[in-house]
Amino acid sequence: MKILDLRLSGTLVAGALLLGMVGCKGSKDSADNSGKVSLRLWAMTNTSKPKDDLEKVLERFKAAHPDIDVQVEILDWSAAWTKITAAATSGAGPDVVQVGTTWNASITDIGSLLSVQDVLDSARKDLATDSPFVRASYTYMKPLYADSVTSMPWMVDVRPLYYRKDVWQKAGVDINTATASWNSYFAALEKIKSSAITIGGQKVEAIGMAGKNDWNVVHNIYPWIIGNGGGVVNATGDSVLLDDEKSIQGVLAYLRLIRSGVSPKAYLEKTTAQVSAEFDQGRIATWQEASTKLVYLERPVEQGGVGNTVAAKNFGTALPPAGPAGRKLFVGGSQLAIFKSTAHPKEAKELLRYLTTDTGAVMEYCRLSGMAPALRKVFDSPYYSSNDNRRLFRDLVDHGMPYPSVPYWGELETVILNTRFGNIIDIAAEVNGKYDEAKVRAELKIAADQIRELVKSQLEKKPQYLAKLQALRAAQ
Amino acid sequence: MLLVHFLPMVHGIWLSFLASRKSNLLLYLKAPIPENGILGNYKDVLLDPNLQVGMLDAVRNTFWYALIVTLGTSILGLVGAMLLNRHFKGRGLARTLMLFPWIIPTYVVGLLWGFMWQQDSGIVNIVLHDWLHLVSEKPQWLLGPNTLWAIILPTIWRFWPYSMLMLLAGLQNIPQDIYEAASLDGAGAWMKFRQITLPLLAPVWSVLILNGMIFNVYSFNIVIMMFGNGAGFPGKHGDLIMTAIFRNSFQMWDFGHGAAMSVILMVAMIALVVVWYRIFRRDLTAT
Amino acid sequence: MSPFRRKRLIGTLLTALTFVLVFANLLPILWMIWCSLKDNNEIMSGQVGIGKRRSEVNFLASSGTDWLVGSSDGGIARFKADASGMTSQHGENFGWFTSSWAQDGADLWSLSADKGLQRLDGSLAVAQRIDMGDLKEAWDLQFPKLPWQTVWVNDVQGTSVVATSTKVLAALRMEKGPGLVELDKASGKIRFFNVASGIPFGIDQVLEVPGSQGRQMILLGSDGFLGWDANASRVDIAHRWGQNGLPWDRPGLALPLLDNEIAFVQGAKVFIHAMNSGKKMRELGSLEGLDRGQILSLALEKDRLWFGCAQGLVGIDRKAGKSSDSQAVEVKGLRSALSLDRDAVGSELVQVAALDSGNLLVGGGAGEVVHVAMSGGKLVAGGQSLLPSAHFYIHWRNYVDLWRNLPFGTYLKNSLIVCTSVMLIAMVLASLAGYALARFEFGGKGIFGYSILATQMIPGIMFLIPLYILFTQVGEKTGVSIIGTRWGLVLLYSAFYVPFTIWILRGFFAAIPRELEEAALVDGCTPFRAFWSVIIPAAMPGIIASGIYVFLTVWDELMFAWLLTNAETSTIPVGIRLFAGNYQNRYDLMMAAATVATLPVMVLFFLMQRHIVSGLTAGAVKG
Repeated sequence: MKILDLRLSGTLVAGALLLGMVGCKGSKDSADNSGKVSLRLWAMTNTSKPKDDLEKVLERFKAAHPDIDVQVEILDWSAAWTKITAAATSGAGPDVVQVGTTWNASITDIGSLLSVQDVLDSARKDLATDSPFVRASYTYMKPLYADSVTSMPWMVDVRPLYYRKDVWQKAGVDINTATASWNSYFAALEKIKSSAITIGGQKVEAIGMAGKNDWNVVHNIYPWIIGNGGGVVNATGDSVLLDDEKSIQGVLAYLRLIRSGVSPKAYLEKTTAQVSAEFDQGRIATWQEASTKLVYLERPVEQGGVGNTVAAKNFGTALPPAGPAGRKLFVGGSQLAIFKSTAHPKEAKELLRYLTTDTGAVMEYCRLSGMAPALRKVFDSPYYSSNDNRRLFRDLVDHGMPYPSVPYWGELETVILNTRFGNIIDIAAEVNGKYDEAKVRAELKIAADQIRELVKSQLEKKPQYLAKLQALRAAQ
Repeated sequence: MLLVHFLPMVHGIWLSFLASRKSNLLLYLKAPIPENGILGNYKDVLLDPNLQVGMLDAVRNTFWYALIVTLGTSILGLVGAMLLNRHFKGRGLARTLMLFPWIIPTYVVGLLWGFMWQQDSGIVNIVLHDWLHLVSEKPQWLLGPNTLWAIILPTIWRFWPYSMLMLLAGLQNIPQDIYEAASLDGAGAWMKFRQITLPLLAPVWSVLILNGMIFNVYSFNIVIMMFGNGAGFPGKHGDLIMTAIFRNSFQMWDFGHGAAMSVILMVAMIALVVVWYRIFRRDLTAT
Repeated sequence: MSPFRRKRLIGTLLTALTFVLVFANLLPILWMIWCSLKDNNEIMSGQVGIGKRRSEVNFLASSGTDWLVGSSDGGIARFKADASGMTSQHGENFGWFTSSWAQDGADLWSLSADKGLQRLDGSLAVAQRIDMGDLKEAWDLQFPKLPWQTVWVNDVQGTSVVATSTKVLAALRMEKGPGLVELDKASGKIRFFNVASGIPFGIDQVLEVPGSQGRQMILLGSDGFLGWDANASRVDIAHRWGQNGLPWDRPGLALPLLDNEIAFVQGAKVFIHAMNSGKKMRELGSLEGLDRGQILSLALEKDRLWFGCAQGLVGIDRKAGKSSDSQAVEVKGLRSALSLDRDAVGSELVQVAALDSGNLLVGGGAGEVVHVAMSGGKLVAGGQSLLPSAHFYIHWRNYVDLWRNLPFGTYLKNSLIVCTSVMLIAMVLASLAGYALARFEFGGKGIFGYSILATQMIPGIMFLIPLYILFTQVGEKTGVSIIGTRWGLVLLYSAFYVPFTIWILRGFFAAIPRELEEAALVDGCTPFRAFWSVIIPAAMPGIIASGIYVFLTVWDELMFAWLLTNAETSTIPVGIRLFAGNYQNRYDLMMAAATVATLPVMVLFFLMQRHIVSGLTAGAVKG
């Protein structure tokens, strides 16, 4: 009976597995039999038609390199972190990969990325300039403790203010004078709020601030910290500045926007994309978001934009406000890197070179994605210089302050800062009783202590970091 | 089976004894043991308050979440079951319709309720404030202490039909003659309910409690989908153990500690199940 | 009240209570489906019901002494307007989706997404109709291999139409790329032109050059604009945006002028481009300083260009070159004259047209039509009227858009294949193992039982990385890739859920009286036969119920599917999460996606509910 059972189950298992395989396509083979080198490129959903658009940009590369074939695979941003982790761990990754600017140091730290110093060197030579890329890129492309450049800058994420010209005008405030300082900015927003403007039957709020369920929380608050002369960690990444008075005052200034009611509390439970839609629907007068929003505002409805809305017909872009320590803005974006596991480093570097240093390719892709180019030369194109809204990009990029490129930034940002800033936003929203500045200070203190712990453990566990650190300190 | 269950589990437990961090990710199982001994990760997880951000909140939330959801589904389930345990027209239809939430995928539940809870335009607040005037100001469900309720209620909604089904079956298995005998003895409806219905449903309660523990402690999808698709932090009052582990280990690239946390959780759960078995052993063997 | 009646009354009340509970229980699901049929703006503004469509005026033309006014939702009316006032001659709202209009003598052509190309006669009755489906079919036949291109969030198919004496030309956005449709009025023959047939880029708007008697057309597209010889049906001029001084972005508006010039508008800027001379574009001027908002429409009246701005009307002398504010004629107080301040959504001036010297008609965003006359260098608003009111609109098209944005068919197929396979595997394996566990004594039976329970205790998250690495290693060693394939997922889920199914089924088999199979064995059955024809049928309700339970659970699994699938093998949860991530602000589409993800299991459940109920309840009591 038992034997019978076993035999029976054996056949059934085999049968079931066969069933499972029905409809399963044969596995893809990376080695092409035509002798072509096949490269795998992982990119995120940067444009509305991610695969088609990237392939369109790659057409010229493919024509120039008939022996190289590029397989584009699109990842979603939220999946990318998981998949790149898994790929880095298992060593079965793609050849070329798009990485967020702040991820580069982390992935470099795992030891999965190839040095691309020679790509940068040749770019400097080809473009006949020592700094072909925007300033912030250099921080991101060579992590603090890394020996060499491990990624090439591709696109830059900058965040202008989008404002409703009609509303600001009705309230009698001018955005360019308002953003000269934080105080004038607050005053202008208060004025818009007290003007209680309705357009098209809708009350227009002065500004919209998204809440904590979002990956932008840190990017939103950080400019206020550095704008006040503070920081999270110092430039060499060995001392924590988050509980400095300057940093605390920066965070408090940010909270003023929430506390004063110029941004409705209801938005605190929404994500950036959701509040962004409120702007599209004409319910917000001022809104800060990545430059990609511009493409969306300009594109007609039938192509997935919001080009026909009242907001899209009456908006302008402006520089975010300048703090006491000057106008210091967020700058992020994407880099391209090569996995060490690649079988074709030469071809991969060629592809990297094309995507990041070919003016046409960078221009075309940035136009499609709405991101700002990392390649400086592209800003000279009339596409940027002749458009009122995009002319601002170069300024935004120049005011951009990169995050310190420390290998533990990912953890620091996604876990410690996200959590603590989330709690701080809750305090400001008074969800747990009355607002108390001491509570905010306490959260920042805990965050700073946690970061200290993290920094300490990172530096202690890696003797090579300490050596690097000595060198960095000496250089300063 | 071996490939999918046993090996990964052994690897997982193995990892919990290693200092598997981002910097030695490529070593995987060959990663060194932590400096503070082979049990270093466990020590850290249990003792180091700075290491696991918000873990305590998550444990507290999960405790209340699991408790209230289990209670809520059981009570609602009992009410539903008793209502359905009568003969009336349309009983089959009522039963089918009552079961509907149970087939809604949990990720849809998170998405849908996250949408319904919105303060300004969510239907919950429209009903409570604009229609029924029960609240003077629209509450914020997705911020602060309300968050816990914002995840508990959808979970109860999703899982109570299952409890109801189980309890209904239990009710139908209680022989009618017991009630009749009790009636002859002059017992009232409440008496009958307390002395007959509740005790005789004990085996069903045991299954429901077991399910409640396992499902709710390992609940993940609803919270992830309700709060920013995994990108953000659900807040002090919305974070559950699973989302906290996900954040602290996966997003931190700290698999050693993550695995240690998982193992601790697993051991705790097995202990709970043993306790459960002790309590309900009699009921389980009785049937 | 007699006890009997009291009992009956309580019974009725309880039944009513039951149904109230049933209804309350279903409300979230109903709300999900309801919202999937709403407009996103309705949802975002907290509107519970479904509202009327916006009847934005998008067409104004003079027809003899009458005016023809059309709106994007299929509203069309004939007006008589002069200084004495404005009278509606005849009006109707057809409720078509995104209509565009073209005049053709006394007739009128309409192009709309749902009704295709239609001819309306002088009495505004539909005289001829070419179905969008017909257009689409012919299109598919002609260009079967064009790639799937445009991401459509709103289904706007017909964008622009022009009628000449012999032909009707329509610029269409089709799923397979935008292009030009040409209908020969005499023969009824339809021809298509797009990237595959000589047009260098996709076009989405067609305009007639005035004075060319329908010979010369301007085609506007995302990449540039073309001159189109309507007689020969070919491109004669091609320009791309950003070249020869053309603006870099596709202008929001264009208007062909006389003497081969074309005016482009971008924001508040106006450019004039001489088409034939190859001269560089000249910038006519900018209305920015006038603060009338963005220019939304253009009209030509003799030598004056009229700009319908969001908040007013401005005229500029076309010959003046670089214009200045002093040359612009402003309409003071137009806002109140147009009732533009009615606090209704979108009540801005959106269309302007000129009849003859000094006679203008303007249209508003909510269907307002106002006659404006010029007298003594000043503009005076005259009579005003409204277009026939719009229809309520149920946005069932959200589902169409959803399907376009997501390869939902692929997800559905993957989910169905994976779920069904796992279900079958679980049913077969668990029947055998459950039976063995229930009937036979063997060494380690207890441990086996407990280890099955223990597998349910492991947090899935612990598996995630080890599993991925193991699968990768197996893939490298054996050459059989598991990651990114459906069968890998099937393998994984089977391993996950078979133990639990065994646990459930054990109870069923234990409940089947031993006498049954003993009787069968006595009758001369082999043990296998006894199992197959006696035990299995007896346990069938339980097997089916647990199978469906597995199906539902697999349908719900997100974490592992997220990591182990790729674009071709993603299951529905992965697709939904991707979608929710990318379209967080499109609540309408999100609810449609949620509905679509739920519908298949709902149907399955409805069909199988009898088995589920009897099976699961039987299992419950048996522990």
